[in-house]
Amino acid sequence: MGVLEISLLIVADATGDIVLAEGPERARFALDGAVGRSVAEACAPWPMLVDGMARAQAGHAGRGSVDAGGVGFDVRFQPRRRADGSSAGALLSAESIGGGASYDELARSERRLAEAQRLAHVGSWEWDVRADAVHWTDEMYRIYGLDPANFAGAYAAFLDRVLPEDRPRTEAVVRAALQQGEPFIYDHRVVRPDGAVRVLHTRGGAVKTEEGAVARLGGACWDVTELWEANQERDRAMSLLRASLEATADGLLVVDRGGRIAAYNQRLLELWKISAGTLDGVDFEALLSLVDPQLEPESAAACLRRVRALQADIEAESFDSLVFRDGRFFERYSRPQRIGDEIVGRVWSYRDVTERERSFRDTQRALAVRDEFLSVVTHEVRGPIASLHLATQALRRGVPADAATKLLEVIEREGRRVAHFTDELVDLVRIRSGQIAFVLAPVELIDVVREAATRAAPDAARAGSQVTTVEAGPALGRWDRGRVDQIVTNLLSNAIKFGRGRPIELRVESDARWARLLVRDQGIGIDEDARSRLFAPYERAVSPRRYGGLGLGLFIVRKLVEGMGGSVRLDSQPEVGTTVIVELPLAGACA
Amino acid sequence: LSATVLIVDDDEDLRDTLSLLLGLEGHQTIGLADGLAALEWIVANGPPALILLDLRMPRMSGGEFVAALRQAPAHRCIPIVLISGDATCQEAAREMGVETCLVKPIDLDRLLTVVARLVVADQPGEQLRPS
Repeated sequence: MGVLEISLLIVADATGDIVLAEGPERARFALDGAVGRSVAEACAPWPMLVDGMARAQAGHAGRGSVDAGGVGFDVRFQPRRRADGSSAGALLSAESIGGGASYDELARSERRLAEAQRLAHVGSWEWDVRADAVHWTDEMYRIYGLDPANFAGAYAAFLDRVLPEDRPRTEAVVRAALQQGEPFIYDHRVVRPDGAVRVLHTRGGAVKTEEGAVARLGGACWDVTELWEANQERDRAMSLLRASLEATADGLLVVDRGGRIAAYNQRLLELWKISAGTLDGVDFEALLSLVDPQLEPESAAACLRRVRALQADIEAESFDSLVFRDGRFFERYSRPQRIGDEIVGRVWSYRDVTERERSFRDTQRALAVRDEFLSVVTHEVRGPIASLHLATQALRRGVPADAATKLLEVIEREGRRVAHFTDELVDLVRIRSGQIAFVLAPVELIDVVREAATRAAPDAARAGSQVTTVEAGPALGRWDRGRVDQIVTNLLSNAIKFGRGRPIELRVESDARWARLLVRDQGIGIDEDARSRLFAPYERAVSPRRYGGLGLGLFIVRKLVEGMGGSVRLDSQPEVGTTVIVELPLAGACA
Repeated sequence: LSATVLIVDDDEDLRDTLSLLLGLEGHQTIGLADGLAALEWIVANGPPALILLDLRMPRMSGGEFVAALRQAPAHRCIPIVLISGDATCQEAAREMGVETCLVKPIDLDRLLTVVARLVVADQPGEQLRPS
């Protein structure tokens, strides 16, 4: 292209009127005889010249290029100043940078480059170090949000646009490039005039003089703001996913289609009792062999079958349960992992539902016990009703007088049995709903005990047992007399029922705080296992069919004693006998 | 051959009532609380004329008792009548190969008819009469 020379020089005064318009290309700009006219009017076909001069009038140097009659010009604008610094006008110098066919080609090539740069958001720049002249392509201006008229084209003007935090690093990179002349890559942020921050990725290099000094730096600058924002967004999403992964109560495992473990959370390690690090570099098959021994054999086999089925049917979702040897119970859920339409793996989640399962089983058991209880009630009530029915039919037919007396006794006894069952059931319902009320009054415990013993004497005699009462200490308290009687009667009836016809002792004693009743038999006794269940509802030490009754007696006794602030316990030895000890507070405190 | 009627039921009061009523009809009765006690009695005293048998009992149920009893050829012919609260016990009676079943609450006429028929029929030299 040859040495550049001045093609046109225009000087304007402070009012913007042209005082000089000279140069070989003056005619191309139609500026012959332009002196005395204003820049704005004379240069109207080239707004870029008008803008640049106006900015120079205002004190800002500038640089740009312009096309006139098929020839390109590199144009520089300079302010003119008086000695006091005030504006004295502006000057413009234009240099031809080519023309004719070669210029057109160059212009086309530059336009193509500019278009490519615009599409790619890549600008290129060059810095003539000695002249401190920075040249930008159009895309560089777009990236910086500037135009040639408001960019001074010097290093300081570039640095001025760099975000202050990024300036030290930028300067360091430039210094190193100047010193070493090596290629460099760095990122920095710049601020546009409207305040928007852009993130730029720069690759650059140095051009050295023959002496080896760095003459120019140049490079390509890529506006990666959108990429960077997308990256930030991805980091945020990843962080959210990671946090969610760890915040869930479920153990999570992601396995890719190649059987490699792609992701898991800490909860998974806890649930499967796997130490951290064990899963690194482990594939799914190895994990299976780690967890398999933890499962009940049947569950382990089912677990593996399901895994194999899902490996064949990658689109399926699954839900099943795992039963552990240590009694734990998991629910397992899985679904395919997709990226777009493609299935890339499978996500497994494990939930420990041991508590729920246990409570479900407890409920099932409680329901079964209650069903059994209802069946016992039905059976127990049928007995007396059968006797009542037979006795009344016999009386209706007519029987000898002595037989009639016995049948009436049967009716009375069986009526009492049915009434007793009813009382027990009513008490059970009251206790269950917390509705049992105690009417407190002074009660002499030994009186109640003697009355109960007298009342039970016929039954005891029938069973062959003799009942004795012993008063070993005074026991006067504030209790519910009816309930105390119920307690004593119940315990005594047990002693008769299980006493094998041997003597029974009812003993009343006391200390400073407690009145104590001991009901001692020499009967069949109760083994240890049964003892723990005896005071629970519906339980009984022996088979429900062996001794009759609803199995509620001791449960009701316990609730009554506790309701009056006392406690009940039991000493027993199989084949030796049982002693039930009831303690009631002498102060008569009532819960 | 004993003319005794065994009453095997864990409800003592019901045993006593049945004993009283059958006694009025001239039957000799023995009450026992479960299948095991009944087996022991039979081993000691020989086959009774009839067994009234409850099904659900501790230690040895009615079903177990019948199975054990039928092991001995000499005891295969003892007539047995079930006593049960279960309305479907006629079916159980057929399956166990016993005479019949009396459902609680027991109808007195039917009880006396059944007992009379089976005890009489079992007496030596008597003909089986249609009921």
